[in-house]
Amino acid sequence: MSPSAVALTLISAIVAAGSFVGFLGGSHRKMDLEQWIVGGRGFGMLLVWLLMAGEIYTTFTFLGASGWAYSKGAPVLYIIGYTSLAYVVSFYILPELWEAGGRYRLQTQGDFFQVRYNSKYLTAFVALVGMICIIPYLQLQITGLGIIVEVASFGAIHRTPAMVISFAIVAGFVFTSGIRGVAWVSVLKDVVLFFAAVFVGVAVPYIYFGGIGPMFVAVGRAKPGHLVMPGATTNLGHAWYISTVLLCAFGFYMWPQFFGASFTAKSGDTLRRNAVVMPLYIITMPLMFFVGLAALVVLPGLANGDLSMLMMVRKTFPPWFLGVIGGAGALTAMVPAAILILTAASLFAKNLCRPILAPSMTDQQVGKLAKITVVAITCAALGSAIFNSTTLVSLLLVGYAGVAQFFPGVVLGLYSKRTTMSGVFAGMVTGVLIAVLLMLSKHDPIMGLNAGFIALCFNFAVTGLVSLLTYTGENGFAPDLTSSPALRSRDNREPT
Amino acid sequence: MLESVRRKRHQVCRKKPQHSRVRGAFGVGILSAAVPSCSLPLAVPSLQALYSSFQSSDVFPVTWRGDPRHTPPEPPAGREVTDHCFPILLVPTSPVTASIRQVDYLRVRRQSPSVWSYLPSRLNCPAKCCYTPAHMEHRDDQRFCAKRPSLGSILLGLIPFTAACFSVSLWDRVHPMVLGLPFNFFWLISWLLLTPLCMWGAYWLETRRASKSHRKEGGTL
Repeated sequence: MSPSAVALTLISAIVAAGSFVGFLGGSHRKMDLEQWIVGGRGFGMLLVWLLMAGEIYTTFTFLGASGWAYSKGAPVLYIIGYTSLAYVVSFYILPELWEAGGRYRLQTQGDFFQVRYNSKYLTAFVALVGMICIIPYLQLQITGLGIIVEVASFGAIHRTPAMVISFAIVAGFVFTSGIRGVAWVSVLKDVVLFFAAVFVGVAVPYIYFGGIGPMFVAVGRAKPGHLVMPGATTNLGHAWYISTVLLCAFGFYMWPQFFGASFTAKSGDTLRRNAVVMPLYIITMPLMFFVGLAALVVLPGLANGDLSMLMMVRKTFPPWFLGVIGGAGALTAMVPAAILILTAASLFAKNLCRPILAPSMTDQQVGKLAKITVVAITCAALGSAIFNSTTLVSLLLVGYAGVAQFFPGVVLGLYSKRTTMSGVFAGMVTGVLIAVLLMLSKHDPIMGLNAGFIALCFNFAVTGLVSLLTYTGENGFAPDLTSSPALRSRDNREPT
Repeated sequence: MLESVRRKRHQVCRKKPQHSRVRGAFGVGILSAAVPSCSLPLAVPSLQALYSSFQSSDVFPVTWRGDPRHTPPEPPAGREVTDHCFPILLVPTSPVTASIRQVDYLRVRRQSPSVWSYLPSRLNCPAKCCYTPAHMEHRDDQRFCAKRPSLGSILLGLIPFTAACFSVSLWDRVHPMVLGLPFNFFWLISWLLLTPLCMWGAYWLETRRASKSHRKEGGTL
């Protein structure tokens, strides 16, 4: 068999196994909206762990971590800095969010804003910003998957058919199995990816340099200054590191899909224990850095740093191994993409469409609308991935800065009764506007600081100030489920 | 094991707040709006008959008449009391029936929130009743209110923030190389291992605090 045929077979086998698990995951259960979005709130620690980890290891980290190590050097350390700190933040927020989620039967991020601030316009705004931030993220997954499959199959599969086929599968298992399907594919993907990453990360430095120590010496000799900040860049120094790590650590769980994943847990304690052990899971990330740094010496002058890991694997290992990496990489794109699609669809149907446009919809109708939206969103992201992939990274950065603006509304809302709807609305609009203006006018980083972080500071200030001015005493969470008509369940069980 | 759980449960029940206080809290009970009102003020419902209408395996009744501070009877044979079960108080609350000293306990699996939505409709109760999970009975205001983390656990969480974020200019250098890694790589990787340690300490503090307040409130089950 030719190398491309071997790789191709393995990629399709792994993707097929993943899809099989995905369809199987939800096939034994009746899928109502609650099962579909939050898995009936019954996931134990291991499944939640794998689900959340499955969302962290996206193609951006798979390709981006080694890519940044290759092209930018030490600033890549921000990735391990912020991921472990994001779990520290989650330790304090997620268990309480889960409590609120169980009490009010929340399913999406928008639902939280609805019960806390009782304003359907704020909720719709949150849902809209969340969706807009999700779509470029989704587009990035699709494009990344195209690149992985194309390189791993030695160019035998062109990226467009690869993208179309795999995303048809993703939409299929989201459609039928909801979050349960996604969680079980995530289990398979993590097992494959973990062993692949450990093997590559350990083997590559040994094969070319005889160890990690000699590799760093060689990198230091080839590119002096690459291993301390600002590395190969001019403006990513220490101030940038601190502001970016803070922004990402605070913003991380504000991504609607991560926020929503916390509602799948069985108990708040599951999430707390999860937050304790999650940083251990990032231990494979430095191995990706090693591969990128090794590529810097072995394969200098790659036009696209993001390809460094795949090119190293292709140069070093036999084709079947490239096939395994390609298959794992494809699943790495598919799992987070499935969750992104699921989240965006439920946000649209539940928090944007029903309260504003059609208040009389029943839960069953919302479920149907969400499933139709799954197809629509997949097509939209696929279309933009095929026809336009130039501004992806800048869009993603705007997305991160965008979702981080939910942080004051969530944290202050959770812990302080004095936070008002007007305060949060004003702060959020200010933050989103500043972030978008600074980033689209290419002022990021500004004065050595991450632009999103500056927007977040303004957001906090405005939220606090306006809340103080508008606080009247009657505030806090909704007294009970029934007092919030936008959220009231409209299924058959409710007594009339 | 099971026996000890049961005994603990009963000790907890004995420490329940006074009946009058309990009744006060029921005015804002979660499900009160959904309960049909009725004009039979003093009729004590035949609860045993009502309970028999439950088909679902996740609800089972423990009928118990008398002073709520006394130990409730054992659950029916074959039904296990687990940590996911807790009692619900079922109290007639109309002004006329306020003097009735009757509290009954249902045990409901906590994991099935759907129980809350069909319970009132299934209990076709002739008196005006409220159903409240007993673990909420001590709350006068039943709005959700997040528990703030303790100072100790926040301080423990600040340690990784200081080490891996704020102090970047102190550790961002290549030398001394440790285990073949530049110092900044080594530092951050070792904090991947030390962060769980700090957070484990915070977890320990939080769970200890939770079990303390549990005891103080006389058992929130």
